[in-house]
Amino acid sequence: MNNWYKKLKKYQEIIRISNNEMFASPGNFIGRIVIFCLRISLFGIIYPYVFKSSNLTSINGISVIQIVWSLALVQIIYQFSRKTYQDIRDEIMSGQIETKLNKPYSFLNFVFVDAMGKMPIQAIIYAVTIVLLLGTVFGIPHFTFVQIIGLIILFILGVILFTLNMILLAICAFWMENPDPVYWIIGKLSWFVNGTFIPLAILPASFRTIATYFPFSAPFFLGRIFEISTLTGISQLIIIQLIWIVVFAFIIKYLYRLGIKKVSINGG
Amino acid sequence: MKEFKNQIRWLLELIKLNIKSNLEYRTSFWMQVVGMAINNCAFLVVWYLFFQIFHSVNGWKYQDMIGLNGFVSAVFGLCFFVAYGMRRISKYITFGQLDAYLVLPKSPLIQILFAESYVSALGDLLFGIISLVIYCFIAHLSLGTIILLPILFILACCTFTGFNIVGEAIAFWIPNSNELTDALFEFMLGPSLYPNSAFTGAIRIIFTFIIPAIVVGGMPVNILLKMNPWQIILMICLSIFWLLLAKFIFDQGLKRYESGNLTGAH
Repeated sequence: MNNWYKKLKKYQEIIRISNNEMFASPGNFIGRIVIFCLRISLFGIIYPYVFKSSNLTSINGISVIQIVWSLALVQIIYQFSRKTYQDIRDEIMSGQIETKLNKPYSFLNFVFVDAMGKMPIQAIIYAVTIVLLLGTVFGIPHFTFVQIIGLIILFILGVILFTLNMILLAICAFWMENPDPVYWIIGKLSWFVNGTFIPLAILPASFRTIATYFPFSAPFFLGRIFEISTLTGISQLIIIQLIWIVVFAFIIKYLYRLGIKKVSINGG
Repeated sequence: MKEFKNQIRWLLELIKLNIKSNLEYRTSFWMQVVGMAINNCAFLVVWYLFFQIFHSVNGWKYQDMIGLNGFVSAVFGLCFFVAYGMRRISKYITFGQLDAYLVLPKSPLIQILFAESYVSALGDLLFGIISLVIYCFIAHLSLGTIILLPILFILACCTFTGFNIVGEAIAFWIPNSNELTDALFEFMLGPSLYPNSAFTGAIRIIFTFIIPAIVVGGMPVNILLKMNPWQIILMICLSIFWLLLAKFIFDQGLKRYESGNLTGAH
């Protein structure tokens, strides 16, 4: 019991440090919030404009307000674990990872906890930003109780899954000189089916089917909250996310074990 | 004149050296170039889907988006492939690494600009050129317009470079501002890839004069389509303005620079 407590305390310390780090440079942090607002604002400019010029009030039952909110919700997921991929990739590519292997913690757990530790505070900040920005300009769409609960669960699981996605792509660096091309291609493939630029609700049904089962689009399910709003539908999305979390965790663990065998210690 | 020729020869040597050092990891080099080109194709697919739903945005059609994405990618690609150092300025300032450039006989700003090249930007450049060639055909551009294209391209590159230097030089005044400069960069790049016909009123003014997103993409495509001489003059003025501003801000900032006592050969 005491041993477990010590282990947890170690990771608790990592969370504390990562949170402090987040606010170490207020300019940087504010810069990220500003760019987030800009992205959402661009959607807020484009979509109402094209709806108005096309004389549309809704597409497939989804209104322009819901579209802008849906795109903003997808953008939230991108704000988390942004650095996880870069950090792991750089550690592996530079060979610095060798210095982490003899430390009394698991490197994988460290990067995961480091990313997750920032989640609660960041989540609150981004949620407030979205509500203030979109709520003031467009208004807040109607959410049922089921949708609100579903949104929270899909968000938490989405961030976990997105972090695992990033870790998996980054550990490709064990086998490749530079995993960036894989990262870009997977990232952009996801665009078509995760609602980054066009909400799935207004795309043809085939895109929605692919989106439901494509592992790299699963982190962004919260953007589908207006399209799938029933308890059964949301539960199905949650179960899919949980399955992918387990699958990704196993694959990462397995590949990492194989990968660290390839690390050559040069000394110095 | 001789001095100018020497400068150009020296810059070409620097670019050649950067390319050679990147080619050392050949597989990685080509994977990054091809990967980035495929990555950019995604934008075209997204816009294709968008225009399948909405057909046009204030007169802009899908073919114009090919031109816009091609133009912005080519500008981004050329600037970063030959002069990626512009995105390193804030890092050099923060870590006190400018010393190595200050002691050399050439202009520190020019040296920094051409000190690094970004491999995957070659993929952007290739994608941009192919997209622009396709655009010239599908938009039935006249020969006169096609001749104007390289001139607009150079003007857009000047504005892009100038804005980036100004954004990076902020680090002279705000320490540890890497993410802020990244945000500023995205502030320009993001809107430049959207159909600028949707930006009207105050937003259009901001994205033209304060954050020149429209100048690096939308305005040149508009000129190709409508041949508006006023827009050409505006582009020339803005590119000169941004280059001069960049030089001025960098020189002013340099007076505040504190050495990190890090010297090394570059």
